[in-house]
Amino acid sequence: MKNLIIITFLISSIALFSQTQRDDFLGIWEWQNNNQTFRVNFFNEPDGDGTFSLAGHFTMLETDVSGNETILYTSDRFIETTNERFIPMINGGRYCDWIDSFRFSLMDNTTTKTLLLGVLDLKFISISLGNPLQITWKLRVDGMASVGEVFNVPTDITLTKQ
Amino acid sequence: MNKVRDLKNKDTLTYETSVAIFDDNSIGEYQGVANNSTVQTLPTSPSSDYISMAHVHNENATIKSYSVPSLGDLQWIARRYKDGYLNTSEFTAFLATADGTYFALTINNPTKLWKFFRYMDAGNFNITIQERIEASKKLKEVYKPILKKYYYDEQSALIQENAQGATNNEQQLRYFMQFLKEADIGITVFESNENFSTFTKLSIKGFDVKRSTTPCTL
Repeated sequence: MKNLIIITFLISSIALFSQTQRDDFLGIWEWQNNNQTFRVNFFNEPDGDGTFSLAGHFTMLETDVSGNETILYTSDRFIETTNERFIPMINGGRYCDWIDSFRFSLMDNTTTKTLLLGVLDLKFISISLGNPLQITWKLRVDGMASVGEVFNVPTDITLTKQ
Repeated sequence: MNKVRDLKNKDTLTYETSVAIFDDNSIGEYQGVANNSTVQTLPTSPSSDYISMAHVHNENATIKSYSVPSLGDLQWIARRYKDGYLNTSEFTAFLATADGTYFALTINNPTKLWKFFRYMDAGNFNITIQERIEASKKLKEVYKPILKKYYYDEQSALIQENAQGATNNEQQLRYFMQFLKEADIGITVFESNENFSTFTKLSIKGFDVKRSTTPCTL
């Protein structure tokens, strides 16, 4: 009986840990590079059947000396001159134990070419209590790629929760 | 073909390798960078069309890969077709994986292949707005019912890396064949031996992978 209680506690703890880590993604994350800010927004996307999936959009901003922000590019946009909007360009979030990271797919819709599909691995960084959450962002092309098929978005950065 | 056959010996490297064969019989070898399981140096617009592309899904302590072709692999083929650099009637893609699986893929219907992947054109400024709208609608149509189900689901994507073992390899193959059928993607799959000298045509019936009783040889 005692062993059963311990096992139940451990399973519950693992499930709670996973759910907590998943929920920690929700919200705004930023990476600063001089006067540019790469901002990622994670949210719960309705699946239409009462369930939700983790999803995200990304934006690159530039801030002038007066603090005014200009959008350099964003995945969260309409197709020009239409009312057709892109679906979230970041999806997934399956935990991969061999790299202790959450694996997402990212489609880069910010170039003027065809969408480039990427594998995005996000890993929580251990930080001390009281400091903001941070994750490493590592992005690579999914499968094969040819010369010039590169992302517009950053591929190797650290994001801080806002 | 010897360079293609040699791929199986490169499945534990820290980078992915590939071999391309072109219509003028020239051969190119390419590789990715260490600890990044992607080959990024294949020619975008070669002087002669691709008639074959072979690559390996490598695995080590920090890289785990699919025992079947990835969606990105298929997108690469579709992209080359769309750009006009693929001899579709002769093209064969070969894949060797660290899980001990070997496949050859041919295109049985290039129109269907691009019809499925046309969602890639949603942001392409080189086509008309109407075509981009159609591509965007296509993305909505295929994402949740097909792409998410097989490759991207947050918890339970059917096709996952690091399958390990014959039973899991067979299960992953079944999911991949189901994906191709559901996507109606115009691709034919052959299972191969590790020397890429014998090929067995695969199909899916219900939940079972069916193997042709008359393998072909090279």
